[in-house]
Amino acid sequence: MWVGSRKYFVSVDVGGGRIQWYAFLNYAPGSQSVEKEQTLSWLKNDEFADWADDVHLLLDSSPQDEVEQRDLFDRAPDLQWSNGRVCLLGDAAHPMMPNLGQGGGMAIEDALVLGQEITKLNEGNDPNGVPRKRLPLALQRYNQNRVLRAAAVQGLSRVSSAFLFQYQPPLDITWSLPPKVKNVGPRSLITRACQGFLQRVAFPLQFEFLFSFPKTIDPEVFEEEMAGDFGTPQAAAAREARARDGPAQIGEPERELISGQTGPGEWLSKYW
Amino acid sequence: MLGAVLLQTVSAPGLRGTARMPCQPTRSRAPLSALRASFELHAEHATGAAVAHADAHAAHQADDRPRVEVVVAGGGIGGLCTALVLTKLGYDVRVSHPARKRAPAVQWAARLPSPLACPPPPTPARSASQQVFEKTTSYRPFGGPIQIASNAAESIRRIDEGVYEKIVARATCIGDRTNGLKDGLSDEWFATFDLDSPARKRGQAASMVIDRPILQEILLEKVGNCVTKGSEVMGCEQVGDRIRVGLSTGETVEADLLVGSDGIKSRVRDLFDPSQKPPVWSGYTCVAGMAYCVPPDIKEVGYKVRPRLDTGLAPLPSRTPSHPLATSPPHPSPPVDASRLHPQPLAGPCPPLTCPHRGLRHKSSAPWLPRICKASTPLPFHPPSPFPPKTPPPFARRRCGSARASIL
Repeated sequence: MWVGSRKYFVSVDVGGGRIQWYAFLNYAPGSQSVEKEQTLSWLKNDEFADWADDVHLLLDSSPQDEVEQRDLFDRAPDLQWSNGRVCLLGDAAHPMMPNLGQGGGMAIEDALVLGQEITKLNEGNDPNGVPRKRLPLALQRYNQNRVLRAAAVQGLSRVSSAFLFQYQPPLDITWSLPPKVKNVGPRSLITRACQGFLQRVAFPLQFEFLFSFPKTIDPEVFEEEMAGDFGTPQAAAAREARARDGPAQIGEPERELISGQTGPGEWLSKYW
Repeated sequence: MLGAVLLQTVSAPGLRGTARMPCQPTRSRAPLSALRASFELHAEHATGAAVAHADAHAAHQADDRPRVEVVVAGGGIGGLCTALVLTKLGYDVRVSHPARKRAPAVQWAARLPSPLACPPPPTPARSASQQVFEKTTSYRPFGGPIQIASNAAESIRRIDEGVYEKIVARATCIGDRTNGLKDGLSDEWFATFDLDSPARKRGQAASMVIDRPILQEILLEKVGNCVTKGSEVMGCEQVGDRIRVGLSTGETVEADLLVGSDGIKSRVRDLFDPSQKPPVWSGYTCVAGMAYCVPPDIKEVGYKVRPRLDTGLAPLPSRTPSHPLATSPPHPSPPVDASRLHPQPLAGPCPPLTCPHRGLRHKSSAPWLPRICKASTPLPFHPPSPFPPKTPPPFARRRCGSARASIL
């Protein structure tokens, strides 16, 4: 992905010697009147004229008839997606910007959660499935389950789009004598200031969040039961292990001493 | 917690809705718009005495039907996945996939027989289960490649392992390369992001890209017989405890559920939002194209990348990408850490940086005591050896870093 002021260019290797590219330009819908046949040369000669060679390589090797133009729309997050026996799913419920490439993924997650919520209502494992009367409840729960995550991803997509919008070539200082400073300007300064944050904080956190579905507890992080982990397999295993291995409670040795279960000498040799 | 309260508040029925039926809504049959009014979160109420006889009859009929019927509006990725999920639950699914051109908006509800004027004939609509499904031979997909990020890939695996295998076989993996942002003018890296390690840590597949037609083809192999193309869901109304769905072809279908996955210009969504606000322009227009070329750096580059070591990010500790979780059912029991099965004596206090609980909430049973970090290996309280080694007191051993570090 290449970024520039008010435009960016994304390329994805889609296999088979093909690269899909997307050029994002800040033009209002209908404000540009470029002939469909001219789109490619317009991009090449006007919009991305002074851009990197790789961008031009991609533009050069694209047939004109596979170039399409679309205006991008999204919505503010909606909170109600289900009503009785009707529910929304995918882009209908949470249209988002394509920046994170999560539109399709969220729809797939929605489908999974919908199925899970319906299955969960089948408490007695009735072979006939969930009674029809309870289906609206399943939809309601699906809505509640999904709404926060979908809104967050919508927001993230929009924020990443907004950041790219803001981008200016970052401030560049070459430490020589005298120091050379390139790209001076407030937005260039902000862009440079954001760089480390994006690289080390924002992007890792973003993907930690995105990939946190469907839930599996990371065995490295949640090695033992903690306050708030109820009913995870890890928690059960930890409880069992604790019962087997001895005291893990704070104050257990003291209680053992006070209750007189072990003599002082034995206690000292055990704990000291 | 706040979120939960908020959700409870906003999802209370009755916030939205619009009257779309020209006729007076009656208690026995209200338009879907009136979903809000009659809608039973606890559907038991709906079978009260006030419900008209016709509806009771309809409900009775519904219970006789062996399978739950669902109409899915829109046969995109989400719609087809929903169809797959619901088919697996044993439901009768009908996906109505619009023709390429959108059907002109009509006030669908107005075309329904008025409930006051004519009582419903015995079989006013073919039920979805009796529907003769049209084989989709020329399902016209739209759009270029689509990213299946790790979370989506894992979701597909939980939905259907076979579909997942097929997708992995035909997709191009980009998650194992380094991706990032480059400055357009100087062609210098601005920032990179690592898609691989968060996925590997969770045992998920790396992010992939697949052509949308191929993905649709894979899904259609499974659920293609549910899809009716060239029909679009135009509206719906509540009939008893069923939903009557109007299609652009003029027919109506009755079903137990309606799932609106008909994209950003959803007609089903319009039922939820009385103002029918148009989508918001995002500030961008997008020109998409396909380049047939092999850039010199393609081996390293998923979407423009250099080898990982160049990025200044520490390389990952090598772990097998196929985590045991990878092939386990939806709620797998986690692999047990070998170090927990074979307790090893701790060498000393656990260093604060590697403490697995750092950064997570700690709740001590006695908050006035200094914060103690539970060590990740069990403590050898009952050593099996006849000569138990002398162990330091638990406080000294189990303290993890400074109190400040563990509060973080």
